[in-house]
Amino acid sequence: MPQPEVDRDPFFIGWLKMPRAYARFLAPVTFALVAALTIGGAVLAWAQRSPGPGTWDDAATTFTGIVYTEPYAMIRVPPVEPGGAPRTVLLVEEGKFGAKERARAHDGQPVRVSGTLIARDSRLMLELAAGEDGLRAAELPEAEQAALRRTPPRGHGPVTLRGEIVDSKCYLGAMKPGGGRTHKGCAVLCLKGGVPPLFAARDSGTLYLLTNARGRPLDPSLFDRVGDDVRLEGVSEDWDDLPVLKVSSR
Amino acid sequence: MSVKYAPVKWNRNKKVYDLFVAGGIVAYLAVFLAVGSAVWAGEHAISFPILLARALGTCALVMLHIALAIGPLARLDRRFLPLVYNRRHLGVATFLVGFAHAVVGVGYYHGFGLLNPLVSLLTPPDRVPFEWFGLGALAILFVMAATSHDFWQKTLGGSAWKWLHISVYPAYALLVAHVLFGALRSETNLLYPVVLGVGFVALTGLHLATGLRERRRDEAPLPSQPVRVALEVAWVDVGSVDEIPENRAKVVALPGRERVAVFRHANGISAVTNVCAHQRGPLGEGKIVDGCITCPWHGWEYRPEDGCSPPPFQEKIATHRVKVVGRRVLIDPDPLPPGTPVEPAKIEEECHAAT
Repeated sequence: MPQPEVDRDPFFIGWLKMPRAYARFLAPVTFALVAALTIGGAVLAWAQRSPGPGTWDDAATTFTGIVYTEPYAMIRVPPVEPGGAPRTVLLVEEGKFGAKERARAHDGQPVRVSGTLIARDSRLMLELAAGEDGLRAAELPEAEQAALRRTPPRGHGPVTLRGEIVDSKCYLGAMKPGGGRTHKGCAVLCLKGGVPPLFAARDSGTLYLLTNARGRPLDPSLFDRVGDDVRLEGVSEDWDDLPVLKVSSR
Repeated sequence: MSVKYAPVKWNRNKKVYDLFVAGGIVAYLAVFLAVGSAVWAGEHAISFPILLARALGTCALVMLHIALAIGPLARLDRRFLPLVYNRRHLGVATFLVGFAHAVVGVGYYHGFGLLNPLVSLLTPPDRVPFEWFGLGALAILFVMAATSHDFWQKTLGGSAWKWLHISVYPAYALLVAHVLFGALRSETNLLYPVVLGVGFVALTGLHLATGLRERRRDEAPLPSQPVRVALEVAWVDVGSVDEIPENRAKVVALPGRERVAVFRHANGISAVTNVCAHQRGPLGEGKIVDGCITCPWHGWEYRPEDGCSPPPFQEKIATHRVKVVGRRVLIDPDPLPPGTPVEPAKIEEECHAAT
């Protein structure tokens, strides 16, 4: 018995029922396509590079210590365990801003700061809470103040290091990953807003706080090189527990 | 086809199509987010907005690949034609997913700072601002999505509309540049450049294969003129009626002119332009259904005898004068104004065929 013409020469018209020959072909094709895409999505998600070990706590953290504002806002706080060395905690505001302006009136004075802790390895940062809760003057015995004050830098001489300039807030854990080319626009905004710049050295993995050759804030002309693979020349120092690279040239 | 414009018209095929598109998007995003959150967890967790931006960005790029592949696939195998039918919805969905990627990315990377996010976006520190490539691609996809409705196709004219929508190829190039100068300079896994390269090669291969196939067809020499047939100067012999299946067409490429679709129907031959008035679909790959030439892309209909859509529709296409001498089909290569009636040429009985 001859096939009806519609079956011998099926033709798809959008507003009519799809011919069986088309449906039989397309059903497995489309299901396979959706399945392949979801598997592909899983593989692409799996293959992403590690964003690093940074964390950003949900709970509020409070420190009492001596605040400094040069070259960037930071606070020296007591050690975790008695007998240990005091720790340096970088301070930033909410969003992409440093905390130098808020801390300036208390420079070198004891303060109590509160906010959310951002940490990567042993490097610490506190995003200050808004208002008086975030930063206020505090009473601290003279002996404790003396123990927390900065000590003279220990110099390690000239170095040339290869690595990436990053903004400390994102790189330490506020945004993950907080480095690389796609993050460049964000990092530049952060640095322009006063967030302290760090240098992630490629070979050693050391995180250096970046300053200019005189230990003042980094020259903004270097901000455009953030996120790039760069070589920096300068002088390496330790400011207590904080490795610092005083940049002399690119 | 329609005599009035409605925002969106759905039928069963469109609903199934959109269901697959929406389901595919949701499945892709869900799996990407779930796997990304599971693999990179704890202190190595990727920030959710970044994970979401990546899921949306890769999803949009995959969707664009599919949208670009549908056209050539349907030319190579007509069983893919139903995917062409509602391709505009896939295109609009691609724009929306890409737009969501841009909103999340710009908001997160360029927000919360000294500058307005858009100002920050437009004043990048980089010599090769990958964000600009993405912005350019998104702008093109937006124009395409905004003008995807038949109202704009009618308002702009079929040719202008088609050229506008061919700008999807520059959009694709911009998106590839966006990925090359952005994500691929940050990610270290070789998988990403390999996937992007495979997508590019697959799309290029499909388009080349389709183009070569069409070129071969177009360049197939027209038959030499039968000696016994006395021809008027303008007529062109385009082949035998026996080459044309009933209710189907033979597509003829004439040098310097639009292709002509030569249909066989009801013991007659009619010739019309191969270009649909709607989206310039290939009418010659369509079929005569209920007495009307029906476009394989969106089902627009034209009467073979005058190139007019049946009432109440008002679309018209160019017709060609045609005659059959023996078993040879002769057409006038010069098109008549759209909608000009041309009596179908009657096919003589088999016993009259020239041998």
